[in-house]
Amino acid sequence: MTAIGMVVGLVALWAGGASALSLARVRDLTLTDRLVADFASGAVVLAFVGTMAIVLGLQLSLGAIYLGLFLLIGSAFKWGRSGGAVVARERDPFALGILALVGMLLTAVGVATTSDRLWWDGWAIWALKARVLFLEGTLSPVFLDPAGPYVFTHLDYPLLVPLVDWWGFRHLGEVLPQAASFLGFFWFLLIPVLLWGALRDRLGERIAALAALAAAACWPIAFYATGGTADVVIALALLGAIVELDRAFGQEDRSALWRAGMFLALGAAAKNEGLALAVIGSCIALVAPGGIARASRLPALLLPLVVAAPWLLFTRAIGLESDVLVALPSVAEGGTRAWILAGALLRQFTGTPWQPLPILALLGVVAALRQSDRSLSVGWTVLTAYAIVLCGVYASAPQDLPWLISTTLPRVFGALAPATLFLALASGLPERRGQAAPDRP
Amino acid sequence: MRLVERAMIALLGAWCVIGIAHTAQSLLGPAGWAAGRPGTDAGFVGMPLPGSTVVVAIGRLLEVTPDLEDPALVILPLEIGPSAVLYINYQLAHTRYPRRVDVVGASAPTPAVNPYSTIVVAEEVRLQAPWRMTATLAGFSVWERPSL
Repeated sequence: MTAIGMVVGLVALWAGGASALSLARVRDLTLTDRLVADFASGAVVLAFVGTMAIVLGLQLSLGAIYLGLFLLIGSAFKWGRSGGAVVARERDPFALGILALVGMLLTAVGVATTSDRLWWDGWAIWALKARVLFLEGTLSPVFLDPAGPYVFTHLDYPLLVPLVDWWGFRHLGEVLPQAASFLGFFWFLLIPVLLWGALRDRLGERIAALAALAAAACWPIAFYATGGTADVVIALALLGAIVELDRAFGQEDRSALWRAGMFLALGAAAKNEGLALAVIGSCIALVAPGGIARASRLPALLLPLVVAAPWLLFTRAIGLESDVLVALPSVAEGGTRAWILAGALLRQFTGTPWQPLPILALLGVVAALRQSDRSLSVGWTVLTAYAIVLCGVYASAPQDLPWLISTTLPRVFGALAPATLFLALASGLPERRGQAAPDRP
Repeated sequence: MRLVERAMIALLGAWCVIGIAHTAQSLLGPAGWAAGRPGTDAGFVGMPLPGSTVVVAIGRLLEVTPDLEDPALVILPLEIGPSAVLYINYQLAHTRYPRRVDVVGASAPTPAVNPYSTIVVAEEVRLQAPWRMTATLAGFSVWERPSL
């Protein structure tokens, strides 16, 4: 019964997201891309609806959300458009073998979530807020009080992850730490699926399968994902936004631009870093040269800000502020912190399992500079600007830097890895478009 | 195939091999499958020992006094380090919610006890009247203050 409840909840979220994208007529055509974008979109819709309810002082109601969901699905059947049917293609047996390995690896990580494996922030922030939502139907006043006993839960953090965990708890009928772990794993599972879908047409099935395997075998991301933290959502949002921006600028595909906006909204609704990512991604996609007129890009690129605005305005209005951007350090202190951070990043990315990534990234950057591929340049610019902003936050935050590094660096910068992998491979390896049977009509 | 492309594919393959080995090693370790660690270590992931057993014991003691309205105070003994104190605080805040549980280490200044109806301390610590001890477990005792 427990497993069935969780499956029903996930399918409902997926169906809601699929309907929203279908109604907006921006649903992707390949099965794997749909699986990821639909679920991400469903989570964004849930986050927006749930956050609005909390901001307006309403109780979260599963029945009301399901009513809205059925209306959404019905409207999508009547007015929506999902594009053409998926066309079967010949499979590469070698790639299938690698994908089987990906499946085994993901199964092993998934099995691990059946035990109690929430990590610090999973207990203290994300799953705790989900528990409060489950028991109270909203965030009780102590969770909105900057002088209250629960300040350690980072009261200003956006609510997508707690709301998705709440959704899982409501479908199970109880608060289970394992369910929060499993939902973290589910976010992690979508990363190799998205990488496979993004690279298959471009580089062929073998490389795409190897990239999916590399992402699935990234234990640091899996560890914090199953620990219940929101960093895995940022990893997915960053990868999804960069993949869709590449399609939008490479193929002048407006629907891809909307999906990029949706992935940026996913980040903005999940974590404060995600809001920074959304602003960076939207600004760069707005000013980048490309075939889609700038004025017509604006609605898609404003989507993340529209999704993030209610919570952002509400929390600022009641005095909840981020604890990292409170004061700027002196130039000397900032320089010292930046030097320490550089050393920590060097140690992290020359340590297991990251060692090959910096060299891959370097080769990818060199290849991108030589090719001057416009669509990939947008992605590289977003990734670089986001990394610089993250470094700036570490250099300027008031917290003790060694503590900040030891508790956050692997997960915050680890979230850049899947997008870096995509960009490096797409930039450095020759395109094989047209060698496989296209599945886009 | 150009040298750079071969190098990239080799690096990708190397990442897969390193990643699989690292994931397998991690899954077999204490932060992996439950089968890889003792059953008493529930909630172990990221928990500085002996945190998990302390959380379980204090959680059970707090069930003896299930008064959800009044907050409970937990004073941990000196041998539990500051990092573990913080983690125990977080876990108890989660598992005991909606009851508020404040956790402090023995080296920290003890807060005023007025707001609390329940205090958990190390077993050897004795509180004065009107506090009365109601249960002990795993080196801890729970004290209640009778309602006025």
